[in-house]
Amino acid sequence: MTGIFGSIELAGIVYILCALISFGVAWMIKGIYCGIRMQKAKAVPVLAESTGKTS
Amino acid sequence: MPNFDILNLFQGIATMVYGDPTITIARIVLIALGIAFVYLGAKGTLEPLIMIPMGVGMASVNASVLYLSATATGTIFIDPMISDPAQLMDVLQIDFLQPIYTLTFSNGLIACLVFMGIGVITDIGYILIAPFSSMFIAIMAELGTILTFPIAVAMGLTYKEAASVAIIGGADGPMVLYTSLILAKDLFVPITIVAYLYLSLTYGGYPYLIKLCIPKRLRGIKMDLHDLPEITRGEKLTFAIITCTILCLLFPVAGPLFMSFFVGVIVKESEVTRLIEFIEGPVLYGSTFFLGLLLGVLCEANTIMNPKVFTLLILGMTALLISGLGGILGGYIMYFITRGKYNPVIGIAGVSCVPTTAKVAQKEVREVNKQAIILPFAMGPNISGVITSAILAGIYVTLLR
Repeated sequence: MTGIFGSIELAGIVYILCALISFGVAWMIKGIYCGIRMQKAKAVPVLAESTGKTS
Repeated sequence: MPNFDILNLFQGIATMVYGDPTITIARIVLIALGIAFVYLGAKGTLEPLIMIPMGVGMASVNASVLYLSATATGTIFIDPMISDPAQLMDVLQIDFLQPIYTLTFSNGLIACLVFMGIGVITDIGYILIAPFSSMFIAIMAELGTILTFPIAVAMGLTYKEAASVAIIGGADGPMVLYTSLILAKDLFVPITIVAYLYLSLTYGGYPYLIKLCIPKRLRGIKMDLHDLPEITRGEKLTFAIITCTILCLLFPVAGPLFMSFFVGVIVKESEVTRLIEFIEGPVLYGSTFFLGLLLGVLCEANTIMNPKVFTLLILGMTALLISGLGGILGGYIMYFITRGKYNPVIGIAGVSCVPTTAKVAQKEVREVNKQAIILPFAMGPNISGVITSAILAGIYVTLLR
């Protein structure tokens, strides 16, 4: 890749790569967030069961 | 009695009188600019933390040019162009700021320290609340980083130089420092100076861009704070360590910057009070102060009279302008997607000058609607901007190194 057209092409590739990776990170963030929330939701009934307490 | 030239007593003046007229004019202009920076920094128009030490450094270094030998002039502040190890050892013992420059500036340490401080003052909870919209705005606000690259090539820069100057569009000082160090060492000094100069100007310039592009009616949109869920410390810690590891795995070249940012975040979320106080106080302010001072001292006429400086000035401004417009466009797209519930001013916060652009957005909204609080929503794109800037720097460095 050389010249102005090469740079436009490269800029396009860089932008697409950046967008894909950024959305990948966003997806990972959402995954972490949902994962932790789900673990918490599961943990509450188990805890209530083991202690015999209900809210 | 021997011949006595009174000017030899005052070498700063002598070097001006007998020196190259172009350099003399540049020195006078830079001294005036330095004084103006101190004034505007103290007044609050420009970012005082950087501009005050920078202005003092700029005025002093351009006044302090002396005869180092019968033919050569220079200063005893710093010599950024030295590369020979033997000469460097000599200079380290003479130029008083050379140790700080060589051991912290030219290897990127100071950028990492600033990043660590930014990590400590950043609450990443906001990005966990709305990761996709935050990332979308941040990507839109990187438009300047992308479009400036071919513009710079068209203006005669090489790909490596073009990428280094395009990174200014990410509005992340440490990232510019880092990229230009790796890709364009010859232009490292002017690019960094231009970048920090403009980053400081975003504080003064972006409010006008917001007013120009977003009508008052939309600037005053109130966002619902009740929608914000509470993010626990554990969630933030998990996010920080996993994201840091994955980003380092993807872009080892930007690893020091990722590590520095996330170590700050992790220290904050771990609530280690003494470390937090240390990083957000002495580390952040100490490194910002020396960064400003060094940037000022690097603005010596002989060093920055590079024929490419004018091109860099134009490109730096273009990059930040396009990024700002891109961010606002992202804000508008979110406004339409949410059917008018999203304040488009938040878009400007995608330009990742943490936390300046988020604060600018809040200030502009408050001017129109006193009850509107958008800062928590603006911090998401703001932090995402740091991540996208680091990703872009990593891609450019990996592809062009």
